[in-house]
Order: sequence, then C-alpha cells, then structure tokens
Amino acid sequence: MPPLSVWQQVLVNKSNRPVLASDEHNVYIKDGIGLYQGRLKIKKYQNGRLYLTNRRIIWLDQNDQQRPIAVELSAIERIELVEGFLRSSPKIKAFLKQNEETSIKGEAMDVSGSTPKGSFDQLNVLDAALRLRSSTVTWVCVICLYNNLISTDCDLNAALPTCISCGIPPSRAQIERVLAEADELSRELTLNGPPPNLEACPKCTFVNHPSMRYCELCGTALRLVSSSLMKRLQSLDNPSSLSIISENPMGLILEDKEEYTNNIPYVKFSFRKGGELASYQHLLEEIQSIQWLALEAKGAINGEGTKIVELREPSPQKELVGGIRGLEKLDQLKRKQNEMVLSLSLDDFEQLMYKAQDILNLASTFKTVIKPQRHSFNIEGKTMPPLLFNKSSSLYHQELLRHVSEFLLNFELTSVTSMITLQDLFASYNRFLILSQGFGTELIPPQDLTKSLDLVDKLKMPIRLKTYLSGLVVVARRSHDLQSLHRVLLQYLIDEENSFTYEKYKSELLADNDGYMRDKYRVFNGLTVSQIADHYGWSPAVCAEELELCLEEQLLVVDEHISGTFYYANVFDPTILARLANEESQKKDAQNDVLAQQKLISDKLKTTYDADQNLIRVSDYSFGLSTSVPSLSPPLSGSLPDSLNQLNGLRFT
Amino acid sequence: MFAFPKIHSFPPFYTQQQNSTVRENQLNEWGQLILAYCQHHRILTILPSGTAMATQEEAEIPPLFENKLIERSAAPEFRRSILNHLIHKLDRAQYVDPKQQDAGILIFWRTADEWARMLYEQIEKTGQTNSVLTVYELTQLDELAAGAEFRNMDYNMLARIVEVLVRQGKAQVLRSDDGLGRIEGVKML
Repeated sequence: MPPLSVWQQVLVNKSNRPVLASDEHNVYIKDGIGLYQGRLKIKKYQNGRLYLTNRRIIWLDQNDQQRPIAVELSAIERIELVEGFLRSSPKIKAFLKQNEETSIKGEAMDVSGSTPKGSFDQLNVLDAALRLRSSTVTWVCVICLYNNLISTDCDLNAALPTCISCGIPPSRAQIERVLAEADELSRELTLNGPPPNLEACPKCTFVNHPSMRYCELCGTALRLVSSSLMKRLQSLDNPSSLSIISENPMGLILEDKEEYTNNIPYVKFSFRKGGELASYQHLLEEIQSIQWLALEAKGAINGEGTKIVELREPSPQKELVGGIRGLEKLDQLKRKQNEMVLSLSLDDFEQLMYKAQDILNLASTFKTVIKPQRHSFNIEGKTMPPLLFNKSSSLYHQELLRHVSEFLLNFELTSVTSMITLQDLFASYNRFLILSQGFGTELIPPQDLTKSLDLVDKLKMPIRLKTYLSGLVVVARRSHDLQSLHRVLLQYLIDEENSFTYEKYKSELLADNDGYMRDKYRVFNGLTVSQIADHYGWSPAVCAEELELCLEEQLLVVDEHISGTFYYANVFDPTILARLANEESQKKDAQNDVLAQQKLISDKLKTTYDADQNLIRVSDYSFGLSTSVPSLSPPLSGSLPDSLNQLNGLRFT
Repeated sequence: MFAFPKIHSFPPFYTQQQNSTVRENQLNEWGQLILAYCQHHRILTILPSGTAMATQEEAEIPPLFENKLIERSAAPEFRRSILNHLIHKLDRAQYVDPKQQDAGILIFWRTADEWARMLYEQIEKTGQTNSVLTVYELTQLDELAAGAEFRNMDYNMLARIVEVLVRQGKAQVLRSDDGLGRIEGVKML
C-alpha cells in the first residue's frame, strides 16, 4: 500500500477545529508545524496547527487554504525524535505500519468482493462499515411501536432483549421472524449479486438518488450505494487516474519523488516553533496506550497485567567528539536537559495551579489547628467584623482606614507609647486579615494602605502619622504627645540607672567568688537602642529616631563606643541629675534589704536546724531579735560585719 | 592619688555630645576635671594629648583623658575641643606658643593673678624686694626665695607670672641678650 494513503480527510467545524469522534479527545495542540512524507516536504503543507488526539494526528492549515489531513495513530508503528540542527527544525518521525496496512487492505478486498482492481480504499472502508451496520436488524415493539435494534448473531436462547422505550420484551417468534428476514435479504445480496433496481431502498423500495447513503424516506442505510457509485465512477474515470487517487487520496504533492531512508515508510512533523519534546511525549503515550489496548483486545494480557513503563532518559550517550562540533553537541545536550528540567518543573507547577482551590480548602481546614505564631492576635478576645466593601467605591479608602484604625487600636497600639512603622503595619494588617478570614482573603496592597492613611487627619481618626527626619513614617495614637513620650523615656532610663545602683550596692554585700558581679556592676552601662525598643515594643528604627529627638531635647546623652551606642540620662543637666536617686540612700536601702534578707535566711536555718536536732525552740528565746535588730539602726557600716559574722556560725557564706 | 569625680566613669562623658547645650555642659565638666586634676598633681603644662609635660612632683600620674576601668577614652578630636574650651571659653589655660600648639598648654588651676600675688607677698615677706633674684633662685634652689609653691615651676609659667607683676608695675626683669629674650633675673619693687 502506498504510504501517502495514510493521510485521511478530516471534517472541520465552522471555527476551524477538527470534528472529533465521540470517544476522541484532544491531547495536545501546537502550531508552526510542517509535514514531510519520507525525506521530502509535502508541498503547501508547511505551516499549520497540529491537533494530537487520542486517535489521530490532525494537521490544519494555518490559513485554511489546504484541506486538513490526519494520520490515524493506529497506523503508526513507532515514533522517533529528531533533534534540530542549525537551520533544520526539530522533527518527530513516525514510522508507518506496513504489514498491517496491507492486511487491512486484503480484508477489505475480501469483503467487498466485487470491487475491481485498483480498489477504492475509502469506499472499501465505507462498505465494511455498512456491512457492520447491516448486521443489526430492527424489530418493532408491539406495545409502543419503537424501532429497536438487535444484532443478527444474537443468542435467542439467552434472555430476549427488551424494548428500549417501554421495557416490554418482544415475543420470541417476532424476533425469529425478523432475523430470518434479515438473513434472507443478506443471502440474496451475496449470492445473487445486486438486485436489478440498485437504487431502491431495501426496506421501503423508494428509489433514491445514487449519491444518497441513507434512504430519504425511511432512513435505512442503502447497502448498494457503494457499488453503484463505484460503477459510475469507473465509467467516468480511466483506471490509471483511479490508481493515483487510491495511492494519494488527498492529492498531496511532494517536492520530488517519494523517497525513504532504509525504505521504511514514515512521515515527519517538523516543529518550526519548538514544542517537539512535549509533543513527542504526548504522542508516545497515546501510541503506547493504543498498542496496549490492541494487545488487550487480542487477549494477550491477562487481567492483572500491568504495563511496565520504560523510563528512558533522552540522552546521556557520551559521545566524545573533538573540536567545535563536540562543543556544539555538548551545548545541545545541555540545552535539551535544561529544557527537560524546565518543562517537567512547569508541568508540576501547572498541576499545583490546577489543585490550587483544593489546597486552599485543605489549608483552611487546618486553620483551627495552626497556632498563630509571633503576633498572637487574640481574635477570640476582640472580634472585628471583616471589611466587606466594594473596592471600586469612592468610600473604600475611608472605610479601609477605619478598619485599619480599629485593628491598630485593638492589637498594635495597645499602650500609650506604642508605635508601628508603615511597613510593619502593612505586614501585620495583612497577616491579621489572613488569620481572621482565612487564606482566600484578598490582601491590601500598599498603595491602598498609604492612600487611606493619607486621610487620617481629614477623618479625625484616633491615630496619626508621624514622619521622622530620615523619612521614616510611623503610626501612633493621636493621644500620645511627643514631649510626654520623651519624658517617659527619660524616666525609664533614670529608673534603670537607679535600680542598677541599687543592685550594685546589694551585690557588694553578697558573696562574690569569681568577681563576676564586681565586673558586671562596675558602672552603669546605659541602654542600647534595641533594649529600649524591646521595652516599648517599638521597631529599632522608630526607637533610634525617638532617641535622636531626645538627644535634641537635651534629655539624654549618648556614649558612642566601639562596643555599641549607649544612651544615658543627661546628668550634665543638674535637674536631671537630681532625679537620680542619691547614692547614699541607695546604698542604705540596699544594705537594709540585704540585711533583712540574710536575717530571714538565718532565722529559717536556725529554726530548721533546731527542729532537726530537737533543740530548744528559737522562738521561745528572742536572742536572734535582740542582737540583730539594733544592727539595722543607722550606724550601719559598723554593725554590718557583726551581723554577717553571726551567720558564720551557721557556715553561711 | 587623685580621686576622679563620678563623672569620670560616666561613659557618655567620653563622647562629644551632639546637642550644643549639652556639649557646653559637658565641656565645662571636663574643664573642672582638668583643673582639679592638675592642681592635685601640681601639673602646670600638659600636652594636647593630655599627658602631663611639666609637673612639680615626681609621681605616677593616672591618665587624664581615659578610664581603663570602663574602657573609654576621649577621641583626639574631642581632647582638642576640650582644651580649646578650657583656653578660650573658661580662660584657664594658654598655649605656650600659639603658633606651635604641640609645645604644650599652660594650665592655670590657679590664675596668673593669684600666682603673682602669692609670689609678690612671699618676696615682700622675706624682705627680698629691690634685690635681683634669678630664675634658678626662684624655682630650683634648696632654700627657695619664692616659697615651696614655686619649686620646680616651669619657666614658661614663671614668665607669665612675672609678666603680670611687670604689668602691675611691681617688678622689673633682666632679659638675656642672646636674642631669645629669656628672663634671667627679677627685681621686685
């Protein structure tokens, strides 16, 4: 059989897409495809779309000037990927089945019987189909008069078929009669040759036009159409032209005479715009599945057989070629591998996008389980209705601002000193939206946020924006005053320093073996930006700006050292110096506290010791009190060592 | 041993403060510290780096511009501005030679007028007026003509003091004729 006949006609719908059979579906579509028969281009079939379905490869002309053509996948033996080189585009080579083609043809010859030499393939196929059709006969339901179909070889001993329309089974006699009629009719046809009136409908005897396939009146298939049509065609054309048509049903014109390497017929699809790899894989899958089905149909596979998928990496054949060609080859190899990786990864991505909705649903089911991390927006405690507002509305920004403001007052600006930078606000507000409304929430873009925050003064919101010299913008409560904020800051530093001195003197009185305490409490080391920021829950940038302002206001002084920048209360200012607690009084306080503590410990030790040894109860005698109480009175420096010495008896150091 | 005031172990003390008012206060504090320090160690001249150049005592002197304990020291720039403050604002110090600042800075922990009055009273008390006294006799001799306060006094400092007396018309000086014009002898009137 001439390989060109592998190309078949394709029906196209109005929007220029191929009409698919009922169980056919599209697998892959690619444009910029040229067709080759063997080694040669098929003329005018060089720029088109390729539709890969699960049964055919369909080619459609890009400009719809050529008739679309198709190759059945079942006619393809195997495929091969041909890499592009320089100006030659990558191609897929599809080798055609030779033996089966001829066997099919032989069958067709047998069936049609009367068809002359140079058989008309298409009509043969049609004929076979008609024969297949005729193997079913109709029986009319006696109840509803519906025309039911039944195949001629149906087993009458088994249960009789029921009417599709009303469900009533026919009588056995009726079916037998119908089958006998059909049998007779077919025997008549095969034995006696065509009846005299070829155009007459076998059922209603209406004489149809020879080109009709179905009876115009009753719709019955006209069985002899093919042969009659063939006769007419025979009379019209001479045999030579017929043979050309059969060899080349679509009238394809090659550049030259047909030629194949190794004499194995094949067609090629040239991918002018790439995409050959994906096509190749899809095609391979489809062909394999068709072959698998064929095997199954032959009964070559038992029920539990599975297909062994051969994982074939398309390449690393180490071929050491020197020179430029070798380099080019290496480069090509690398590019192919890259393309492979990319296309595979993108496949996965498409999968992910495909599953996106499912994943979102899944994620929201976990919402109750996930612990909110850093910012525990205590949503249970404070409820905030979500902002449901049309984005296109002119009031949108105002509403958004109100919502943000509510959010801030509830969660972020909880204390007077709270501040938050715009960036942090943006992040935490969106985080809040996700947390309170689930993952599908639409987030607020920064443009909208800034736009609505611009309205803060106009709407007299309880929050306000503050811009520092460096351009840093923060949001704070309106109530919080800059001056008082700095006073608070100063007071914090003073408190820190006071407590430090207190601890220092306290540590001096306590045991210190390794000198750690001495080193630690040598001198107050001030506070760094991060310490202050942590204390107030500010971001470091805000804190640095505030401290800068405090320096300007002469409330603080700075110590810039290689180990860092430390801030202190401005003791150069006598009024501030006065607010630092007096060292002497601090010292005294520390001593008193330490003494009281030690006495408590010693008392406890005494009572437990006495209780253990069954000695006289300490509380009966007030010696502990009478000796140590005076030591707490003013001349502390003298009495201190004494009171501590008393503890030596208890080996307390 | 000189007891440094508490501020000497206050870390921001060693950083030049940005705010001008605060800085003024800070520099004043530094000035007071330097005067007290120099008085305690009887230092009359220091180098711009803060090292004592001439002292009337031979003893170990702790460094002025640094505190090893808290690991802080004033930057050279800051030292310069402290000394400038002392010279120009507080008027308690002078360059030995303004054109040659590295030559040292005289620290007037006692003002030149006070020094001059002390010197004159001492000379008057010991009845040495109208007699010529050499610089050596005033500062180096075992039995000092001018009293213990002037022992080992730097020549530059003595020159300033004497100049004050000259301006007041209480003294006359004899200068060397080697072109430098150094003071050789002083006669109180």
